[in-house]
Amino acid sequence: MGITIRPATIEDIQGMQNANLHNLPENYQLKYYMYHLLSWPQASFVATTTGSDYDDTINDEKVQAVKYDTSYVNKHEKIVGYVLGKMDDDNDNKDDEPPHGHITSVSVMRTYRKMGLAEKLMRQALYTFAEVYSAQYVSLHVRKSNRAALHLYRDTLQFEVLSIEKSYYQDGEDAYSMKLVLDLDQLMPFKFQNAEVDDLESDLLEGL
Amino acid sequence: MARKLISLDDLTPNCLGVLKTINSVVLPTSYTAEWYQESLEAGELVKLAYYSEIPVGAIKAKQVYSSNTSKPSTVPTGVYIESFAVLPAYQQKGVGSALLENLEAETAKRFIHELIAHVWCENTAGVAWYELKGFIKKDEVEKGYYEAQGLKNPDAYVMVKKI
Repeated sequence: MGITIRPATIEDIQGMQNANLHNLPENYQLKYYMYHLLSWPQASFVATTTGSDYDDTINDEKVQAVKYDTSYVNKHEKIVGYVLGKMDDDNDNKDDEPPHGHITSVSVMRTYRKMGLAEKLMRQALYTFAEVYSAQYVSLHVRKSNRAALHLYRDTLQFEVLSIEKSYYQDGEDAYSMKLVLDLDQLMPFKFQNAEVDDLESDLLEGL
Repeated sequence: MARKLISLDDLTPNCLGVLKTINSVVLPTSYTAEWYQESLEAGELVKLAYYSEIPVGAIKAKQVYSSNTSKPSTVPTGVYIESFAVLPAYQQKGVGSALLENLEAETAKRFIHELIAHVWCENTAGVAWYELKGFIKKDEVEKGYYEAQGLKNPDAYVMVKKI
């Protein structure tokens, strides 16, 4: 079984909501996921499983059947994490504000954590914010007690803490308001994937 | 970026249970629900310590004012350590030192010159630890301080460190 990160589609929203309900206390109506995907189709990503762990050639009806589980979008394709992103659209009285993105929600299912999925999801989202929507910066909120998330945003992704918003969450917990200024060249996802870098400089005929 | 092995963090409503658990597992004293609720307001005087991102220790202190009742003071005269606990399996790893150092720095920041703690008389390791950290044991023993906890010798030493 492998895991892939791909853009979220409208078929994924139920799986995304399923993951959100499992992982986070901040939940949204299904139409809010739809609103994100219809308004900014490139700004959201999902992490899904691919392929199967067992022998697929078995011609057993039970094995071949699609699992009727909301976290599955296809056979062997289970949504295990997502990032829900949007462009900030409430610029009522601040027209001079440059275009910027906002991360509405990120989560990864418990048994798929500590694999770097949230970081990969975030890097893809940050890249498309800059590439597709020309966002100048991205903002988000994170619970003060969520040390794992804070480590990802502040230490790994280099977000800066703008302020602490007192009692931002319904249960009274404070939130860090965070922001990352986007630089497209720095955000290219291949830079973080240990990918081979194409050598476009040297003379290929040299030494022949 | 690698995380530090030992890190400190603020108390939030969602980790109040962690403070409760650490205190109840390590300390003979039990604290009231109000005490825990108030500790959310303690700001920098309450800290949780994480070892490899696992919460293993906690400290809670408060400012104390002159006991001279005829002349009530609004200027704090000391910082009193109300609860200080590190899970036994994580002791001797620098978690307590990190918590204490942070509290000392916070005390200095408030221009307070005295850090005070009660230590159970039978807790020789605790007394030795505080002495190692520069605390001085006061001569008079507080009789029956741990009476309510049902300890066999309920007396406590008062230990003070000048900051």
